[in-house]
Amino acid sequence: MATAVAMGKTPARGLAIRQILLYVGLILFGVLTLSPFILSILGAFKSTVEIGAYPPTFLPQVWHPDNFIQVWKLFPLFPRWFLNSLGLSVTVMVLNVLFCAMAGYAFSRLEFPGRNILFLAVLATLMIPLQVTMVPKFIMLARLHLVNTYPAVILPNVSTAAGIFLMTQFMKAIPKELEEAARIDGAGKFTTFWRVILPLSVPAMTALAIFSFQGQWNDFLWPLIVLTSPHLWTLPLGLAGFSTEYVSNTNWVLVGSIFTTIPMAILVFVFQRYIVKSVATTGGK
Amino acid sequence: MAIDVRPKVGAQAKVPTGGGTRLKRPRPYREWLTSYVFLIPAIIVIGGFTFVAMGVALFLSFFKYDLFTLQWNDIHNYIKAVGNADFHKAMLNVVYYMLVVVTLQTILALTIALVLDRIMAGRGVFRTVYYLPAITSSVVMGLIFSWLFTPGGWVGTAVGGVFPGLRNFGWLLDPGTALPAIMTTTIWSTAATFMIVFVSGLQDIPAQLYEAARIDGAVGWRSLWNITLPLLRPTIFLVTVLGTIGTLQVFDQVYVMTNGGPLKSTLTPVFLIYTEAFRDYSVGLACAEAFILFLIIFTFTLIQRRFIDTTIEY
Amino acid sequence: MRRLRFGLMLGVASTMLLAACGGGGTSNQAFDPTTITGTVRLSGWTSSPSEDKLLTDQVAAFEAKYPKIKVAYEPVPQDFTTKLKAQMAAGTEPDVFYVELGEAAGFMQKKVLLDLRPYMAKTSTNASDFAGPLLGAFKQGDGIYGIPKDFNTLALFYNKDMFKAAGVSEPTKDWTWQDLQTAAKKLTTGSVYGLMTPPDVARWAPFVYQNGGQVVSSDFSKSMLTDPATIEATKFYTSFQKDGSGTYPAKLGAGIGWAGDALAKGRAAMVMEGGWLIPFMGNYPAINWGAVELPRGKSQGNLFFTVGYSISARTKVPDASWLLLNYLTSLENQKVVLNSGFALPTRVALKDDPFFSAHPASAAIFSGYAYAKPFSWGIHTGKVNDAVNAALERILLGKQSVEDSLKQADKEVNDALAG
Repeated sequence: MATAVAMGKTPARGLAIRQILLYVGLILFGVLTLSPFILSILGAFKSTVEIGAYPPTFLPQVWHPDNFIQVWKLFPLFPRWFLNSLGLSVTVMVLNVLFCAMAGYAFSRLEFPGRNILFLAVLATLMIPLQVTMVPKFIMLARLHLVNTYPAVILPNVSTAAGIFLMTQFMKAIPKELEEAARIDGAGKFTTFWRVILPLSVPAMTALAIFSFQGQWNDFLWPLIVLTSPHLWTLPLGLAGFSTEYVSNTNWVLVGSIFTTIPMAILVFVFQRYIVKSVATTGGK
Repeated sequence: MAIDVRPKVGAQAKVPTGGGTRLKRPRPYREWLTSYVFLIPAIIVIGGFTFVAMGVALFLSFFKYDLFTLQWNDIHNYIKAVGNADFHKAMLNVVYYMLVVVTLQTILALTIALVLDRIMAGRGVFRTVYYLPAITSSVVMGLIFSWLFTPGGWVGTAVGGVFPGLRNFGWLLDPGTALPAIMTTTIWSTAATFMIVFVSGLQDIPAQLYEAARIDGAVGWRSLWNITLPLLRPTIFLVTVLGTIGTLQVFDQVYVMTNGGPLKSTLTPVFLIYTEAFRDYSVGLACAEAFILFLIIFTFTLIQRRFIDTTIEY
Repeated sequence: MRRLRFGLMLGVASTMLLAACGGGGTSNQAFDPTTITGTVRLSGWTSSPSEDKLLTDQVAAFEAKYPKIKVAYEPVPQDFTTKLKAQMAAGTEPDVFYVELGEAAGFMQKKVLLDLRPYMAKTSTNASDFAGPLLGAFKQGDGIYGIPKDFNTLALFYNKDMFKAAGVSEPTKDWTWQDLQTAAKKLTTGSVYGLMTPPDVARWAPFVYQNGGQVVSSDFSKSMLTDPATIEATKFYTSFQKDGSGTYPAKLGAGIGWAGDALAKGRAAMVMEGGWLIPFMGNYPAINWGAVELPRGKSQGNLFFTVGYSISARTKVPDASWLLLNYLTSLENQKVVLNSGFALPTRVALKDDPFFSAHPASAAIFSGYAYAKPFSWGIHTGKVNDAVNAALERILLGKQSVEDSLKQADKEVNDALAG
C-alpha cells in the first residue's frame, strides 16, 4: 500500500495498466499454484483406466464419485488414521503451548540461578537438526518400551525451543505493573501466571498453537520411525503405505491425498487471519 | 524456528537478559524453586530428547551396534563415514538442492510479496490461494507431484507441447532430472510461507520513508532498489536461514517420490542416515555420519547467525 | 526389490484364503491344546483389504476352534521388515510373524526366533512333511526357526492375443534365449514392449543361473559378479532395453508400478513373475494370458521365494503361538493356498495334486522349483540385492558398461559379505 501511495505521481491510466498487469501476473501464478490441486481433484474422479490414459484427459470422461466411497470402505483404517492424526495433533498442540508458556514465564519474569545458561541451552538446540537425534531418540524410547505407542510421538514434541523462545520474547513485553498488582493482591506465582500472564499471551499462544498443530498433522519422519503398527499410524504415514499398496490405482491414491488435505484446508480458511499473522512473526515453523 | 523478525514485541528486551526491575525478594529460594517447577517439562523434554540424545549418539558412534549387540569399534565408524561414497553423494546432493531451492524460493517469495504489496484490492484472496500448498502435507505433495511427473503425465504433456520428444520422459527416473523435480515440488510448497514473511516485512517499512523518497524523486525501481530492498535485508536473511535449515533436512519428498534413486541422485543425508540406521541397522555408522553432518551445519549456522545478529535490528 | 516385495505380499494372501478348515495335527497326551490360553499377536505384510479379510476370517476360525486363545492381527502394508526389526529392538515384536527367505539367516544369527522343534513334537508335526529346501531356509544347525507357509518361482507370463497378432508362435518350456529375444523384438509395436526387464536382482538372477553363473559363491563368502558367465547373462538381460524391445514398468507412466500392471494394461507382451500374478490377472478379464516355464540358456535356471511363519524367542505365549502357526500351515490350509493360485504349498503331500494338471500356470511355476535356487545370499542378502539392483540400474540408464558396472558392484558385494 505504501508504494501505491508512492506511485501517486504516475498518471491515472499508466497506473491502471500497471495494476492490470500485476493482477494478470498474480492470477497466472495463482493458476500455477492451484493446478496440481485441481488436476488431483479431477483425477480422483477418474476411473482406474482413465487415470493412466495417454495423453491425460482434463475432465473425467465418466465421473466416478464412488472412488471416494470405495477408498473409505476398502480401507477402514482411513478413519482411524484421521482420528490418530487429530488426537496427536491436538495433544501436542495443547501440551506444547502450555509447557512453552510455563518455560517462557520462568525465563521472562522470574529470577533464578542458571537462567541465562538454561536459556542459551534451549536456544542452542535450534541448531541441532533432527538427523542427529533421531537415532538415539528411537533407542531411548525403545529402552523405555515406548516405541509403537502414542507417547513416543508426543513426548519429544511438547517443549520446542522455538516455542519457548517465542513465548519468552512475548512475555518480556508484558508490563511489569500488571504482575505487581496481582502480587499486591496476594496472588502467588502460579496464580499470576494463570490469571495474568496467560490471558495476556493469547496472541503468541495462538500462533504457537497453529504451528504445533500443523507441524504435527503433517509430520512424517518421526512417526515413521516410532510407529510400527498401522492402527497407530497418522494420515501421512497411512497414505504413504496406501500408495505403495495401490500403485496401480493412482485415482485412489489421489482420493486419499484429498482426505488428508481437506481438514488442514478447512482450518486455514477458518483461522486465516491468525495464520497469516503467526507466519509473519515466526517464519512458519 | 522463531526468530522474531519484527521486534515490535519485546524489541527492547535482548535475548536472555531477563526481568529488568529488581524488587525486594523476601524469600528468593522460593522463587528459584517455583522457576524450576515451571521449567520441569521443558528440561525433561529438551534435556532428555536433545542433550542426552546427543550424548547417546556420540557414545554409539564409537560402537558397532545393530540394535541387538554392542561392540566397541574405536573411530572406525568415522573413518568409514569420511570415506563413504554414499555420504559424499548425499552431501553434494543436499548442497545442490539447498542452493537452488533457497535461491529460487526466496526470489519467488519476494517477487510475489512485492507485487501483492502494490495491488489495490484482493490481497487476502491471493494470499489464501498461495498459502494452500504450504499447509499441504509433504507426503501428499510428493504423491501428487510423482503423478504429475510420471512419463506421459501432466508435466510431460505440458513440456511435450514445446519439445515433443520429452512427452514420455520419466522425470523421476532420470538421474539428471529427479532432484530438480523434487526441488520444484519443494519450491511450490514453501515459497508461500516465505511470501507471507516478506509481506509483513514490507508492511513494517514506514510509509513516510517512501513519501520522503518520492519527494526526492525516487519512484518505481529506484524506490525498490534504494528503500525497499535495503530495509528488507533482515527479512531476506531470515528467510535464507530458515530455508537453509529446512532444505538441509529434506526427507519426506525423497522417501515418497524417489526413495533416493535413480542411481542415488536424490540421496540426501537424512535419508541416508534413516536407511543406514533403520533399514540396514548400522546404527554406529549412522550416528557418526549424523555427527559429522551436525558439525558442518553447526559451523554453517554460526556463520549465518553472525550475519543475522548484526542486521536484525533497524 | 520393491516389486518383488509386492509380489510376495500378494503371495502371502494364499494361506488366508477361506475360513474354516481345522486341523493342527494330532495332539499327544502330554499336551492338551484345549487348556492353552493367552493372546497371540500376529503380524505380516498385506497388499489389499480383501487379504486382510481373509486372514481375519482365518483367525476367527482359529479362535472358534480354540476359544481360550485370542489373536491380535497387525497387518503392515509397507516396510514390514524394517518395522519388525524396530519392534525387536524395542522388545515389542509380535509373537507370530512372517519371515522372508532373505531375512531368515540374519534373524537366526541374532537368535531372535524360537526353536520350534519342542513344539512340533508336542503336536506331532513332522519336519519331513515340508519340502526340504524350503524348510532348510529356516534351519540353523539342528534348530528349526520357521515353517514355510508357501513358495513361488518365476514363470514367463505372456499375452496370447499379442502373439497371435504378431504371428509369433506361443512360448513353450523349451524356448531358448534366442527364441525370447526374437519374439520380444517382433512383439514390440507402438506403445507395447516385448518384455519387462526391471533393474531387479530377482528377475536377473535366473538368467545368471541359466548361463551357469552365480551371484555369490555357494558359501556366501565372495562375489561372483565378475565371473564371465555372470557378465554374459547380464549383457543378455540388459540387451532388451538396448534394442528397444524391453523397458521397465515405471517408465510406462501413471498406474503402472510393477510388471503385472504392464501385462494387465496391455503395455507388455511378456513378463517374468510368480503365482501372485494369477489372481491379480483375474481383475483384468480382457487380457488373454498364458504362462510357461522360463526359457533356458545353457541350462534351466530359476529362483524360489518363500515366506515362513516364525515365533519370537521372547514370546510369553509359546504354546498358543505354536498352535496358531501350526493351524495356519496345516495341510487343509495348504490346499487352500494351492487352489487360490497365489502360491504353492510347502507340504510334499500336495506335490501331485490334481490341481496342477488343470492349471498350467501353477504347474509351470511348480516345475521351475525342480531347478530353482533360493533367493537368499545369507545374512547380507539386503546389501547384496542393493548392490546388484544399483548395478543393473546403471547399465539400463546407460551410465556404465556392463563390465564396469558389475566390477563396481563386485567390490560393494565383497565389502558387504566381509561384514
